[in-house]
Amino acid sequence: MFENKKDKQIIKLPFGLRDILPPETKERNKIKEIIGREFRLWGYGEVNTPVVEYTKNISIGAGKDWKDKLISFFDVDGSPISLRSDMTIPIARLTGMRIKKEQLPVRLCYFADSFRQSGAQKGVSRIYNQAGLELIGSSAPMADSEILVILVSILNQLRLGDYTIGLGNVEFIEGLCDWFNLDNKDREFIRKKIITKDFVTLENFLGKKDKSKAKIFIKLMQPESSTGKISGLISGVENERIIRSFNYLKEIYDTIKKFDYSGSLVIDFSIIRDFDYYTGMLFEVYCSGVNSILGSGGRYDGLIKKFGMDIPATGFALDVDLAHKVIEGLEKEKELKVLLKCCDLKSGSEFIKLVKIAKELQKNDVIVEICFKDRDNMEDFVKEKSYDLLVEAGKDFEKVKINDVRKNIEKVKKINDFIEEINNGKWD
Amino acid sequence: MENGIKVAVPKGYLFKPSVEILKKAGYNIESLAEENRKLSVYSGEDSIQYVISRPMDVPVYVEYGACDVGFSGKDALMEKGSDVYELLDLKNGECRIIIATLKDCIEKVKEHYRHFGMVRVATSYPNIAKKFFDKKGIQAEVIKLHGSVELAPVLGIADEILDITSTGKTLKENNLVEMEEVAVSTTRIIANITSYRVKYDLVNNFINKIKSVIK
Repeated sequence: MFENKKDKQIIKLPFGLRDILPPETKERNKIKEIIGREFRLWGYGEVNTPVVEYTKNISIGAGKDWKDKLISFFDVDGSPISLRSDMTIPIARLTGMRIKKEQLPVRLCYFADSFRQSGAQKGVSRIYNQAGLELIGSSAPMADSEILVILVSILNQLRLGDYTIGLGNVEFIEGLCDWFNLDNKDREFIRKKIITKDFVTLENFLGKKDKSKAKIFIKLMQPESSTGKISGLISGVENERIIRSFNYLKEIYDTIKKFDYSGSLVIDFSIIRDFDYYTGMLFEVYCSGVNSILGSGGRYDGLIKKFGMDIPATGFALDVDLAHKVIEGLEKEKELKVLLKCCDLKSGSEFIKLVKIAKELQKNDVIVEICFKDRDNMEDFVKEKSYDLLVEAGKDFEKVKINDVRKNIEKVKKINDFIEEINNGKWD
Repeated sequence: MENGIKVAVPKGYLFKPSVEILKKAGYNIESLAEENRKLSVYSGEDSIQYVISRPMDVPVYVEYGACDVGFSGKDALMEKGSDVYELLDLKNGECRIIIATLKDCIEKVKEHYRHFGMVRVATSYPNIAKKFFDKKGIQAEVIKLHGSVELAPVLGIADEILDITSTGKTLKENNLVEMEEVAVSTTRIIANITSYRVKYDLVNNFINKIKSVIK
């Protein structure tokens, strides 16, 4: 239906951006509907923020290399402005600007496009369609558990059978760095190597400081579903921060385990995001079939302070595009699609009569398109556009000729009888 | 393949040592040892699907999830810049990435650089070359060749080459001398980001077995 046209002038889009056409939009909307329902039922209110904001606001918390990540322009007065690179920062900004302490905690959610810069050659998308939520104003592990329960419930409903949620804690890595007595420069290096997943360099680097400690460090970086094993590994580590952050995570982990989930849960301390604002528990969602992270989130207690209000918060975002890629067999909604015509349609009374018939049919959620022009290859056209029924009103507008394209049957009926039958679901 | 993993094994000089390590780790490598042109073989005993590919494609296969883990030279990883987990250094398949030029041209090349402020480099590793010269603040015109890079200075299309060498024999035979070492490359075990989490038990098991047999 939407193939590339041949012999046409070449029109391009900037790299990493694309159009989304009706069939895909329909499926994505279905996904958003499932997510949106869950958000709504847990009391999350949807917000919208501008696509463009001042670069100085957007760059807060976007990480050290924000210049490489943001798509930026100049405003008419010369101020640098950028497309938002996620929704967490704009919502933190909004919270700092508009939310009063008495209103806390606030629960907000969004469906939005965000933009990130990438190399022209890499073929990576620069637009991300995300569905997410933020729970602002509570520092309790229960808040983290709440958003994870919602996340799991959504993943179950989307029937992403073999998803894995990896749970980590930034504090745990910091604790390990304390344990090695690392200075800020070394910590920076460690974080970077964990983000770029270079465990070989990591082991070599830490091995120079302390070989046996390095072994434990690398072991702790492996995903693990048994909290007992991790407890065993850290039993010899006398560091308050490590134990505290592990217990915090364990509490959440044990809570989530009590609920139904069709995927699996692992603890993975190698999860660090390249956004600087995360301060505690954080997590990522993976699903076989996609090579990127399907969703991610975590606690960001210091971010909103940068916008004038010192309050804790936690949240997550799911990538709708990626979810769409892995979801198979979303329930197709039954819908009847009708092409309505009459012979020799002229504007005026005939058109008005057709619209009246269409409106009657639409009362039953039937999709009706009015055909303005007869064509010779009507049958091909009907197939190409996948109509179910071709309905032609007679000259006197008393009877209609119904061609059921699916079953290849043709019938002539009185208009009122036909509408009656549609009401009774006879043509579904 | 529900309970198995896919392993990418590189053709060429890394093939033998990689298979050797798999054997030491207790995997059945009969299917790999057969002399045939099959590019993908399945070992039922270990539930492993082996995919035999060009060394440069291993990081790509693993990044896009066609394979869960793979044996890859660090040179290929550096060149491709793939988003994969680098889990183990096998410490074999060692080679060095170096800059070389014609034996009696070192002074000429330096003079050329002083004069034009740039060098012309032939290589099959354009990304490594670009990064290396960028870091040094030298403007470099990088010419990508698909092999026999040593010919480039002889034929006069480049001042220098960036290439891998293990014994230095090819360099000598083509009258080239090393100017600088860029990096040392050994074989690494890499893993797909999603597989590393979704199949973490299988991947961890594989890694730990391999880990137990490397020196």
